[in-house]
Amino acid sequence: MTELTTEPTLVWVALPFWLAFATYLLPALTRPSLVIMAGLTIAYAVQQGGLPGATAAPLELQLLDHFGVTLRIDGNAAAMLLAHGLVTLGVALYLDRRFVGSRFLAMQLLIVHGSANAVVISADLISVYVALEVLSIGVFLLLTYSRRAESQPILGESAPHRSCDRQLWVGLRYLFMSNVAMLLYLVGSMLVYVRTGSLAMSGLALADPTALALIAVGLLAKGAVFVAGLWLPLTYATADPVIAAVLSGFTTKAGAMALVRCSEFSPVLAQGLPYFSAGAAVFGILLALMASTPQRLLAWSSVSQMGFVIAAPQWAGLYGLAHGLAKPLLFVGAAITNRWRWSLLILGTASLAGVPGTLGYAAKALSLSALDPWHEWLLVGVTVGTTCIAVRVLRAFPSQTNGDTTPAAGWPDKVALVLWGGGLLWFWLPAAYDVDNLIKAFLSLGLGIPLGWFWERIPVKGWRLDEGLEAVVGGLSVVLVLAWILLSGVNHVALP
Amino acid sequence: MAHAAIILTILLGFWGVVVKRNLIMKILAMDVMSTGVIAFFVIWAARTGVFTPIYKPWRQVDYADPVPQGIILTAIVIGLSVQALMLVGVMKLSRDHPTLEVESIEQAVADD
Repeated sequence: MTELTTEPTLVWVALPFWLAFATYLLPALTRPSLVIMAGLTIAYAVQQGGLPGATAAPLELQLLDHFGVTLRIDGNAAAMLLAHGLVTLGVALYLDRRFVGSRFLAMQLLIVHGSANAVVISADLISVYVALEVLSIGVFLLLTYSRRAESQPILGESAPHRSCDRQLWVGLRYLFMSNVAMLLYLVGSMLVYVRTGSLAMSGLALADPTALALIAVGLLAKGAVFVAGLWLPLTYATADPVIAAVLSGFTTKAGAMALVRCSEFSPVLAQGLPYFSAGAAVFGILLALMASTPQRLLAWSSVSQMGFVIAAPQWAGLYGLAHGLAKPLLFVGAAITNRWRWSLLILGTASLAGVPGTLGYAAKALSLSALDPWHEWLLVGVTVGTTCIAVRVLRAFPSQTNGDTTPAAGWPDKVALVLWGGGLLWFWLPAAYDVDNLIKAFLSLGLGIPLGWFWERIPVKGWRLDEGLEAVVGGLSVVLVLAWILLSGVNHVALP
Repeated sequence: MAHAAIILTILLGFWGVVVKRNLIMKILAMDVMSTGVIAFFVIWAARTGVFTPIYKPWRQVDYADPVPQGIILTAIVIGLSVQALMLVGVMKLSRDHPTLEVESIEQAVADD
């Protein structure tokens, strides 16, 4: 490692925070600096091999000495950094003058962007902790400060103050849940220190199951994986669509990426990960099938997709990129009313369902072919459900807004389409197009599309899970117990 | 003995987080939990000695482990700011929901 490779990385990690505080002195520069920062992150990610199909040698930085901060930028992290850059750039263009509180939100987005970058490149437990806590404070402020842009329609809300209270409550619930989860994580990382005398992630190889379970539950809750993701649906559905795009684009994935990074160092955690992945995928898709409004469909499908993200650790970054571009398209497409909405929605759903030709297909094919057979076929089954959800999302819209489309398209919509949709279509990975994967894709599309088309005729009661604060914290403790049993069992019993 | 007290504090805090119905009480319980976590770090740091870890060549004493102390300082600051932020949110929420009972807030803000 030479000075030449170290310095740009350090400047790039620190720059968003520096810019965010500098914009308090120079408010007029907030949006330009957000756009520049997003551009820099894209350039950095491309340079580190973040483009799908590209490879670059992982970069390891050991700052200070034995107890210092370790950074590691590998293919997974670089692909996620590309998603951070693209999503932030698209959202930055939406935060213009019509968006109430746009400068504060842009400043906050800079901090969220910087801390998410820090999470995915950190390779020691405490840096991950600090970055995740900063991330959750930033997300709380994004959630609670956001007000609807004047240009956007207000759908089914009677009293404005009620919606403010709701945003505040959802934000508080998120912060509360994440702080409790991170306290558990902190105990876990201290147990690692007690055992190994170091806080680097490489110490996880020697950690005992209790420490691993505590660390896993913190990261699972931040990443909204499995029952720990109960907080997610109401949060996404309540947040402003543009903010929901940020949340689904990269902030929620940061926790999952940290979990994947931990599992690279700990064989025990790596053995437990497929069960969390399978549980999350099935849990999310079952509740997504029961959901009724498009926002809730998308939100529950996100819970299910988090299971796909952590399914195959070597492809986690690519899957995160594919999902991180598709979901913002859908959340924004669901909110706008001009004629560009259909292009946004169709591209997003095509990638979500894994139509060959899109990045979503390539990511899914590569991830699934790296799995054990039981896991692979389970996730193929879940893909049928995902296709069904995608069709239902597309069908939900004509009935909701009867032809009141306005011809005037805002230019951010066009740029978002080019950035996110273009990103989904541009990357061509030949490795994903073999016969097996194509058969699986057409099988799930062939089953899922009719299922989604005729879903309304299938008599299923639209029951909902309790998503209150108590259920969220209760879900956390359930996951803690499950993780502990699973991770202590892995050592002794050979699970299927 | 100290370790049992730490575990008990963390568990009591978590119990309060789950069981208490009032939002303020829940936040206080979270603080109890974080006190337990802080105590864990500080007590583990003191296993080798309790002297402030500032090295002086003429002093041959048992120094405390500086790493957990340094880390927990960061965690204390983060915990404090999160708690302050949550209490500001609770203050704003209390205008329309003066009792701050979690169930009544959830009923009031439910979407259907």
